[in-house]
Amino acid sequence: MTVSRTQHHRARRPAAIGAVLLLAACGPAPTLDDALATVHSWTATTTLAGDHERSGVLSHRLAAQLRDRGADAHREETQSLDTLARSAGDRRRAQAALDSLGRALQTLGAQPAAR
Amino acid sequence: MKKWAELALGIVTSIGGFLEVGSIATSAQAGAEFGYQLLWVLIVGTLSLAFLMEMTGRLAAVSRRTYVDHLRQCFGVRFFMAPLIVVLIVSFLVLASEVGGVSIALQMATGIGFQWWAVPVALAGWLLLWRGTFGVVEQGTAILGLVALVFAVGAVKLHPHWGEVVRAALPSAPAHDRARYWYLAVSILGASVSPYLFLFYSAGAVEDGWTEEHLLVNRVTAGLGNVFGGGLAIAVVVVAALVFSTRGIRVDRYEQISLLLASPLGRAGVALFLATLCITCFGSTLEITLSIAYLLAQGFGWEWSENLKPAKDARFAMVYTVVIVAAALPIAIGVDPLALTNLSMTLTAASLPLTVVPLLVLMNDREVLMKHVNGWMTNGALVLIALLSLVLFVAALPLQKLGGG
Amino acid sequence: MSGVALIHDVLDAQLVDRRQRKIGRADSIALALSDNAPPRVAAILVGGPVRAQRIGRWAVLLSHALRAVGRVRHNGVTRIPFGAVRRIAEAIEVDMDGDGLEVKHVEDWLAEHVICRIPGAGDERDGEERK
Repeated sequence: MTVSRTQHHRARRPAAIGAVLLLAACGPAPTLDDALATVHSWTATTTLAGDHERSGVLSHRLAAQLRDRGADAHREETQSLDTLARSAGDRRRAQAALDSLGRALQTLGAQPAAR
Repeated sequence: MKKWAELALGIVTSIGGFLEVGSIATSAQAGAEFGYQLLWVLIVGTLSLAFLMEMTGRLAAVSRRTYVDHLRQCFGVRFFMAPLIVVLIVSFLVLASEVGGVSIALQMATGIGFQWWAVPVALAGWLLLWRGTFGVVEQGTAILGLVALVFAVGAVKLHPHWGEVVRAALPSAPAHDRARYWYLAVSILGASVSPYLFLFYSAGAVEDGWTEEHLLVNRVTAGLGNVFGGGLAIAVVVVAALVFSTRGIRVDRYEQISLLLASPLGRAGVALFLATLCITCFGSTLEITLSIAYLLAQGFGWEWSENLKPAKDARFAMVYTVVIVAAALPIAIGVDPLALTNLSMTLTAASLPLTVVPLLVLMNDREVLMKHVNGWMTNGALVLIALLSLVLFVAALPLQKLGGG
Repeated sequence: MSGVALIHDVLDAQLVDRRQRKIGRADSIALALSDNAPPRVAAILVGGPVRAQRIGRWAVLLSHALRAVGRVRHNGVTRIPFGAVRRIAEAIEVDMDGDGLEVKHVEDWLAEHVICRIPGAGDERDGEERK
């Protein structure tokens, strides 16, 4: 009884490992819309942070951290949009989105840094 | 009089203890991406936790033994190893996330990178565990944790359309991004119903010497406390829906969450948010570290109590010492705290059957609970929670893959 | 009094010594067999190796490995004569002194060599000492 159960377990183990690997392999491919949404999200974040920084609500120290994270996103999404945007129209949309994030980052970065 | 003091304390404990890194992060993400739509999941999670806490508290008060103690004796050591190992791994990840939460709050306040804060935070936590008593850990973090009420103030000041908030208490299917929606639902449940919460609660009932006379305190604490605590998490969703969702901001980094309370409350809002994140995550750091030490000590029959001098329960003290320092390491080497939080919440959700299903047996054991066994209502709730936990077990990891990006 | 079910009431139960200090859990139960007497319950066994046997092969291997790494020479199993049992309630109380029992070896070693060297640990030799 015990023996047969053990063998049953052994037979199942490779299947379980296979299922996990399969799952790991077939995550959803990132889409153009996802990448654009991320860029848009960071543009909005940076704009909101800039408003709060100018009105004195957000410290320059924290604003600088948000600017850095926004810059990280700009760098990462530039790469992924480069591969995702195939048609000329997609390229234009991607570039426009990245440009507006870049502009928003500049207004946030324009404040004197605290450190 | 003493009873009222205990009641008040119990409620404060659950309010202060409810919000922590997982619920703040997942609630902010849910509100930002889906507005109020995921509120019903938060309500399901809060109700489940209230029932589970009431049951494990009742078990401990009536039998004067902890949930872990019963789990080992009733099911035997062979079965016990499964929840032991799984809860150890999951709790360790959640613990590392909490250390990350404190560290990122300190980074936002000081500008010094979060990696540098992880080890000092762990050492401060360790010192409190080493010198403090259970009362200090439980009450200290709970009372300081009331700073989290700032989210309720923020939500009210934003004048949400309360009718829409109430309507979101009913489940609804998403119009877009289905995988992401259900992934966040799983994360929210993982954040609300963490096994460490009821392990800590039932050990606390024994530490505080609860008896059958405390059953009312137990019921009120588990019920009202969670209503208030869950209310705060709802407030986070509401604020995120009004501040982030309307602008198309998605939460990819903790730094973004610092903007939540800037709109309704200004400068003070930012400072109080940082204080909330720091204090509540630090409180949870202490509670999870103790829970891991409780789990091992009670499971293997070692001496244990946060009220004893470390020399009197050396293995217990050794476990919390090693665990809290080890949990600082992932953050110290720069693992992204938000990514770690999200992963821990999914794994927590997947682990729930191992700690929830055994309650079906334990809570109906007349030899242990006598007339205090579950009634039809608590059994009904428990069956539903157990079924939910099985669904989470199956769905959590695939959803992490599909919607976790 | 109704009988005590060994598996239900004794196996895996918490053990405390005569001063109510926790000394481990009942990891196994040993019967004594002899030619001209009926079998009787001889002892409660506590310790990693017997526990590992109940858990499964991986635990036995892990237990061996740990003992090899830690250079543990004694067998790591404490026999508590069943005759020492005084009470079976929330925990099983045995009429023994927990100090010096094999099963407390790790606890004592840690207390002496690690914990007590950190300031504020208290003194391992005193009686019950609360913070």
